Amino acid sequence: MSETGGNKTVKGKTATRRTGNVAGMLRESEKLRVTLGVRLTAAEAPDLQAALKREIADGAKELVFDLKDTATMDSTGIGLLVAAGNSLLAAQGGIRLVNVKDDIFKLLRSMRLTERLRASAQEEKVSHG
Amino acid sequence: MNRAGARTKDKKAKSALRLVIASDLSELEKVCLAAGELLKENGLADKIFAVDLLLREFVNNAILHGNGANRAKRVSVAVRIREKSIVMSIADEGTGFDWLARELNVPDSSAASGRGLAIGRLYADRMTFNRAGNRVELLVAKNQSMAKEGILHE
Repeated sequence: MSETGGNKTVKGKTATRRTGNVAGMLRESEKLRVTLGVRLTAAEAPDLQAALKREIADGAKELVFDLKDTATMDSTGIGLLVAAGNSLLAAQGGIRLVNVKDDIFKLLRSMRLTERLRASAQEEKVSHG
Repeated sequence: MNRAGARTKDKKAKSALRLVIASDLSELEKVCLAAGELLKENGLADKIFAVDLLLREFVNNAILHGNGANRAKRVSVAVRIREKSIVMSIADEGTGFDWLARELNVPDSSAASGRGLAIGRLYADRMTFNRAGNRVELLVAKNQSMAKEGILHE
């Protein structure tokens, strides 16, 4: 993300898909924010994985997954997040999960992933400027 | 009977569901939806997350690994509400797997797969495979404290 005179330059790659897996993707330079849908499971994972691969190949290095709408996740969905994190770590990037609902947070904690995935149950305030 | 003398019938919640589905992931949602409705009807909405998660993991395994995603093969799913527990059974038409040899512990945090059985161990109070490994029964206690004390005599 570049800042010029207080304004953000946004790469402008916004894709909104009304499917169960992704509600929106917002790319700002190396940062990619993915708002997930209600479910991240074996059914949704292939499409999301393909989209993430394209973005990472295109230079995205910092991924933020917003899980405010996500109520269901299975081991395939978890695996997708871990794999994305692994790819980004290898490229000196990172991954973060925000607005994680209680049940999902407990699931990730039981899998000992809250630290690796930097999962947070808190609201994240997105600043615009 | 009501005041007018007409017979009234108390509507009793269903206590079980049985589904047989094709080996296609698109069939999984109807299983989870039906199970969720069954739990709600029985006042067990607080168990929906665990039951939904277990069904997704093990029906998914039955579809993809047990039946090789062969639509011609079937997966049988049953969910029963008992006095003290919720019991799920999932069976596929495959030859099974060597479940005794499988690791049930949570894998390393960098592993991109292999968490299904660990989820079963953590979210079910009892997980039982048949000898072949093509049928599993999962029990979730209604009352967690009873599960921990091992008081599950039914």
